[in-house]
Amino acid sequence: MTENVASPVKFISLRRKLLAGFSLVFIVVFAGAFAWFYQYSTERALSRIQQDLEDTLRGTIQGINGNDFQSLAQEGKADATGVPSTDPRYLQHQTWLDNVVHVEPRAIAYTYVLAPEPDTVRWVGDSSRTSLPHAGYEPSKFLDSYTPGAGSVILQGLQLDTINMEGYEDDWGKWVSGYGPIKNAAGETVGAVGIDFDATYVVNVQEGIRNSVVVSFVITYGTLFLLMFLVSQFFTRPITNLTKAAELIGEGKYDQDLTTLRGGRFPDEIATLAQVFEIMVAKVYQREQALLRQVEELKIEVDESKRQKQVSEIVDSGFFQDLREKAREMRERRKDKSDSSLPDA
Amino acid sequence: MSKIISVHSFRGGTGKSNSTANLSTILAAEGRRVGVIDTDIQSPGIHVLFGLAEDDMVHSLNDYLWGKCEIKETAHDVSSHLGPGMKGKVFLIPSSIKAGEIARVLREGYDVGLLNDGFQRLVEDLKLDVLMIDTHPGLNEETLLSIAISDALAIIMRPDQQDYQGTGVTVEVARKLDVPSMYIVVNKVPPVFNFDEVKSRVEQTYNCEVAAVLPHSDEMMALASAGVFALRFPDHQVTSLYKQIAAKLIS
Repeated sequence: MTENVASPVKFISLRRKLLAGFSLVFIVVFAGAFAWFYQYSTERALSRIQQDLEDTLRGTIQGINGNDFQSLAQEGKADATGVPSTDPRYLQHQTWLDNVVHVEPRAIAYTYVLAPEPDTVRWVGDSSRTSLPHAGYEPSKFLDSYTPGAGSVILQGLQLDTINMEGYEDDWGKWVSGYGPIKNAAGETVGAVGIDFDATYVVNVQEGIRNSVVVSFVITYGTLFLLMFLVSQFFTRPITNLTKAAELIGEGKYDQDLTTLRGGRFPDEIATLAQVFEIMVAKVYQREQALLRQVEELKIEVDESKRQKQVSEIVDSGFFQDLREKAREMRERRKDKSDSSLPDA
Repeated sequence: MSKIISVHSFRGGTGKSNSTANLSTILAAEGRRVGVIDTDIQSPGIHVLFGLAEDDMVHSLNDYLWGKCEIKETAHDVSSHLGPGMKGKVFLIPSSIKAGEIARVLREGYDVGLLNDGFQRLVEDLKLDVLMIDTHPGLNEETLLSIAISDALAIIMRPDQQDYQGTGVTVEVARKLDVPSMYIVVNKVPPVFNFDEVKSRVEQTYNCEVAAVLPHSDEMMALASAGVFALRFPDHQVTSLYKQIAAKLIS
């Protein structure tokens, strides 16, 4: 008897389950690896830039004479060009800042002093006045005021070395900055050096990772997906073949060839299953044949001569002969009685 | 005309009483007055299928055979036990299930001629359309009598080596007794068999028509004689086969 029971749940093939599981695991692992590598590379790039920034800041401060700087800031007067262009102290100061920028082209070096107004500084030297870093860049003027606001890193730089790696972005790129105090011979703080350092490298590193990760994800995922597709086919095909064979065997077609599932020289679990299945089919077939033979024995198991002998023993007796005669009479009597009880036509 | 139908098997355990009860019920359900007599005095059992308790047995066939009562007094109307759909009547003539009375039959025997008279009287007194005789297995005198006076005979056999030879003898003996219609019923056949092939092989072997090949039924086994199968499972394949057998026997 065959019963078709409607399955209440949707059938999802083993291959689809494998591919879905693989995709999920791959995406999670890849996303984790990407996040770690991105963070690690960014930190490494920032660390290198911070080191260069600190070196540049320290070198710049060491090359400035605090007393000369103090006198320049107090006595220097801007002429028509906006700077004390003929003041040898200024020229010497600017030359030093230019040298710094030539040695480290990623840097813009400038100096400043605290202004009498609250939370305000005044620019003294600025490398960008002579070495314009970018077209359209507007350098500061000598002793121009700038109010960065209370607690800013520029004001902190008048007290101690301060590095700002959070940085900022403008039209020319991403920048990080460092500040450090300039001291005179008496050890008094007379101003500060500021270094703006080009951190576009970090952005480039991050962009490079992002771009390469998309490509590598597509290539790796595509390759592994194809591999999984082929591997899943390798595993599911024998099961599919076995299922088809089982359906045919269920219909009584026992001559199914399962040799391709045996695994050749390197048998595995599927091969074992195929072997057990073949043994099972053979036993079922044997049992069916045995039962069919029983039906045939219905004919051959009756011993005719023995039967005739047994029949004779019964029917040849006087009782039987008498019974036979009486039974015939009784049947006729009942028939007559029945006929007589019928109403006349 | 009333009919006497015997249900017989050479060996016990073929499902003879079960078949008798089902065929009787089917014939009664069609509006007939059916008498069922349990002549298996040595090992009675059909009363269980009709739900007749020992305490409700006023008289049994044994009482009649020993001259204690008239045959019609042994008839028990069990129609009410068979549900509301019963158009006709079923009268059961049980054999005693008391151990002492069974032992007495074995020891002393009884007058077979009296049994024959009883059959005839039953048909007349109860105005029966059909008298079904549930026989004792084998081929003793009372069984031969039952077969001899029958208008139709159903021989029950199983697809079992133990049944083949005896069934062959029974068929031949019944043929010698000029039973007007005779059928073989192959019972308890495992579903793995090809039923058509079983039917043709049995018919070929015994030269006798097979009324039906009844499959082994788990439902029948589970019912365990606690009722009449055809009533409990009216739409079952086995029930429809019983109806087919009943139609052949009564025709």
